[in-house]
Amino acid sequence: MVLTILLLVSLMLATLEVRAGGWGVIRVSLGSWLVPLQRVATEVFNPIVDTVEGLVGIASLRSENAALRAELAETLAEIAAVEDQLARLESLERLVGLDLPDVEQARTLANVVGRQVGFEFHLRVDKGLEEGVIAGNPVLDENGYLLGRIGASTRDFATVIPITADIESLTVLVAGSVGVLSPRVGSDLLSLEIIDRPPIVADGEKVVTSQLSVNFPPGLPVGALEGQAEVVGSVLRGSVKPFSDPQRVRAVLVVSWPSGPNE
Amino acid sequence: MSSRFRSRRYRARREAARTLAGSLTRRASFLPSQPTVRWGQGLAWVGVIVVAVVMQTSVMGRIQIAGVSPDLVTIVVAYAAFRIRDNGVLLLGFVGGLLLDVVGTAVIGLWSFAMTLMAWGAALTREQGGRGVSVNALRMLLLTLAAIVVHAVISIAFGEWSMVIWEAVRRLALTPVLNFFLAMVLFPLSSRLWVPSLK
Repeated sequence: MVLTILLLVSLMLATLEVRAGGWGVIRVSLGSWLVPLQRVATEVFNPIVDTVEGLVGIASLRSENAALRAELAETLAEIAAVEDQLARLESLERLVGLDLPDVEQARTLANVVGRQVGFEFHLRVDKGLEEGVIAGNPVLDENGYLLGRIGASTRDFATVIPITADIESLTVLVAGSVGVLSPRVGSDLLSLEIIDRPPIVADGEKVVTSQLSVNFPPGLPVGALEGQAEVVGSVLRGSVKPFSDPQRVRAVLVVSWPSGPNE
Repeated sequence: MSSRFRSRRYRARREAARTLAGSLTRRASFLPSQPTVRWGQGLAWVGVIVVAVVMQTSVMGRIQIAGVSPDLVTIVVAYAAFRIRDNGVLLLGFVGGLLLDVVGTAVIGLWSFAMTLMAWGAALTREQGGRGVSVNALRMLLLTLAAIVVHAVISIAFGEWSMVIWEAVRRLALTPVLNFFLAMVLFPLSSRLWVPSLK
């Protein structure tokens, strides 16, 4: 009997609230006196629950700490990647605005996407035959200094052989005299030899590509004389430090050289 | 034995009391049985259910396992069935449900309907609940499951179903299990403190 009455009362309450409005007042009036009790219960038990949660959470805090460290490392890596992208962008902007002497040929900007360190050091750039990059093209760094030449080119990418790792010599001009620059094995310096009418040179003398060079346009800055050059017989010998650093370059400029048959 | 019990006045009063009791018994045999209403005990249980509702709606929300909290009101009503009579248990369940309705935002009457039915089940199974820890815990699991299922059904009937199905399944599966383990923990305490029939 009581069960039936209570169930009917419950259904009646629900029906009245659904069908008739204005029951929110009853809810507020009935529930309002529970609010202070809830507040007291919260204030009393929350510190206890916090303490228990703290004790239980010690184990999970360690794993959470490790996860946060991993996330921090990932974020730092992303920041470093963004910084690398910004530096690359700056290099590309400088390459676009580069004013090259006596070079009117087509230019192609390329990003350095890899470095092969080993017996044959070379760089890999993200432009290839589709962008007109072919083997033998001179490569400049963001300052317009001669970096090297394209060694091989595929459809999507190409390899750059720096002048310090090239097996071929480079014809240069030093203080009005034509000489030959050759790489040294295991060294960042280049060997300079001037056979014909050796000039009087000093430390820091600039070395540029010669107009007699077949592989590179004339007037490209290559490096500077390091130390005192010595004259042996009729030959002047010295060391040249290249301006470009293949280890740090991020973007390069590929120049179409030698000129095509229509040029 | 003291002299007071041996006095004539005491014997006369005892005889008069027996006569009055016999008369009342004879009268009561013609009337339907009226259980003794203990208002103090009833108010105490209402206080307990109010505390349970307050705890359920303020503190238990923070004690969550897999996003689900134990159902404290069901536990209190189920244990009250050991101590108070059937109608009292039904009223207690109704009051507890009504308080849950008032505190919540859904239609008033849904929880009171479900908790009244659950209280009826608790009163029916009080004998089984006193047989041991595991049996009582299983009883608690089934009662909690029944309360949640009835509430879900009546909510659907009144168009108050707004829960995602996976959330409902998770609550349906985990809340009875939590109450099961809570009953396992509470049974020794309750049998010593406030359920003399379980001693």
